[in-house]
Amino acid sequence: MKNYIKNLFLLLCIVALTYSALALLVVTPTVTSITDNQSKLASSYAKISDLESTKIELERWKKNTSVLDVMMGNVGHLWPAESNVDSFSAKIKKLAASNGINITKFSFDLPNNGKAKYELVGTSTYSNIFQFIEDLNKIDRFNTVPLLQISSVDGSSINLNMTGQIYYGD
Amino acid sequence: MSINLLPHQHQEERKFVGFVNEIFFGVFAIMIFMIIAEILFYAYNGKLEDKVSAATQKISAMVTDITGYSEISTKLEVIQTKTSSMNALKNNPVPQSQVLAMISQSVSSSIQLTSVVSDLDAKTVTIKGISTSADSLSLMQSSFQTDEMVREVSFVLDPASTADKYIFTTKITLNDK
Repeated sequence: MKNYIKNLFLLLCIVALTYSALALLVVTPTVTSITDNQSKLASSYAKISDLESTKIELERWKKNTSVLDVMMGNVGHLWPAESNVDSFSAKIKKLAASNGINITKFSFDLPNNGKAKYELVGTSTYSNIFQFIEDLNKIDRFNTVPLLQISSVDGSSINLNMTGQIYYGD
Repeated sequence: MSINLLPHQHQEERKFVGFVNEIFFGVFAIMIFMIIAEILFYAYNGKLEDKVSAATQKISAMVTDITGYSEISTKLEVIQTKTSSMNALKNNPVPQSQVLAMISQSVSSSIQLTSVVSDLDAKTVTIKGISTSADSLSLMQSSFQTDEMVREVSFVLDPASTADKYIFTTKITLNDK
């Protein structure tokens, strides 16, 4: 009985060693290569899917070049390649006047790094100032107002001091 | 000359031969099994390599096709870049008009504002004013606090305030978007 157990243990050891050696030397490199190829294939299929979507979209736009040109034109007005400070100055002065804002100072800093900062100082009523700020969103040149200061000196005349920015570049 | 083995020695020899046979059979079976497995894996890997090669060729053909639309893709890229930049700037954190709308909605007629400073870079709005009603002030505060673009509201009453004239400063910190 003791010999039988000893032989069985020896047999199992030899079988396990043979199995491990063969698995390590023969099958494992192939399995590793399979895993690599599966991963490459998955990433290639994902890329093909992306490219197909892109191609379909580009073909759709190719049929609608006029719409694309209009969109390009609109975006070009909102965010032109050049700073076009003078054109914006004229627009904002006109908008201020139409909202009853009396401009006492309007100046632009030198355009720099795709931005042109301006300062506008004026007087009007609260409602006119609120409307002016609201209307600034509607003009065909994208602009932001990082700083807005409104103050009342005597309760009737409201002072406005704002810093705005326009943007340009490709 | 012949050697006569004893009966128990014959038995030992048979056991040993049986044991060697078992080992040989076990190792042989494993080798066969591994060879079959390797053949199957190798064939499967070959098919995968063919598929990878076909997919790579397809990708390169599609890239060539897409390059033909370079004018359109450039225009689309410009539109997308500028639109994304505009949206990001407009919502950082909110447009000024939205801040003013919030103030208009929260301030009742019994409150007179003396100063509003809205600094969107610092994400703060400082409001100074005078109120003739404590209730109106309280309503204004709670209105600011419940607004979704507001993160924090602090309120300071000026020592110069009287029972019917509350001089206040409210500082609002806006949420990041």
